[in-house]
Amino acid sequence: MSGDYATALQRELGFDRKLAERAHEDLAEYLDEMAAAGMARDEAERRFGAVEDIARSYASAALPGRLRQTLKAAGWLALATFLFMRWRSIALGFDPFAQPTLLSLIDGIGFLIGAAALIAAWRRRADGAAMRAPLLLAGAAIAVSTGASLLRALPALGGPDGMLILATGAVQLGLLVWLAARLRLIGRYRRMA
Amino acid sequence: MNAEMLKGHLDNVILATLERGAAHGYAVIEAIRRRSGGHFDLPEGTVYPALHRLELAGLLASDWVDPPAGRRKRVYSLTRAGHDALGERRAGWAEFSRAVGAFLDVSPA
Repeated sequence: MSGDYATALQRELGFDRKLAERAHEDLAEYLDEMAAAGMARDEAERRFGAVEDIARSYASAALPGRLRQTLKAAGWLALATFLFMRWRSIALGFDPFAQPTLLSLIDGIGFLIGAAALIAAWRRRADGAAMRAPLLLAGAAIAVSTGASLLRALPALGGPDGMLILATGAVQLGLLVWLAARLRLIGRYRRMA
Repeated sequence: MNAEMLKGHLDNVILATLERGAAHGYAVIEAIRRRSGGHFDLPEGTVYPALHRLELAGLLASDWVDPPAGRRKRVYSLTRAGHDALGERRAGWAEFSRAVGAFLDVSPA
């Protein structure tokens, strides 16, 4: 296979290793067929298309599927946020009927906005490109809710439930970082596609 | 035919090509060229991402096949959903081409 063309295609799709491998396999098959037909490599690469255009086509093809995967990841994050928030509230004895504080309001409202944005993203799942904005909103709102929830629990960090707060907080922050990385990747797809 | 015009219909062209039987990527390119009488002029590499897109959408399935000689090939076939989608798109296209044909004063093929 031609090194320059293949390398350039791999580089263009370097943000998604699986997609780059798929493009590499397809290009290898095509160039083999053309070589078997007696076509010069340069001519075969010219007929395959400009590297940027081909990479754009692959990114465009993969974008809807990647958005759906990100939607699933965001759904798991929302579920974990809700369950851990409830777990901490019960363990720390927060009274659900007590006068709400600023943090408890931010926690609850942030989660509700995140959940609503997730539902909006799910309803737009047929149109991959339209899912990104609600997914971004969901991620931001759940991040705010998580921050408020952890700040509420912070005074109990030195107590017997300290490990619970640390463990659930670490899992939530890890999921948030994962979602942020996926959303950043989606941004790369969109810029290319 | 202008490549931009074809791009919007490439998925349908690929589905219809694979309706006649499973084929690997380059065989799909050749079949499109042959059946269009050489009128479809687009970079041949754009067919592969389209195959990938249709596979991700569940309209195609692919399997690796080892030929007696040469490199193994990824062979694509229509799934049940692909057959259904092709039927719907065919009906939609017939309606669309009749409507546009009425304005352009040509009979659909």
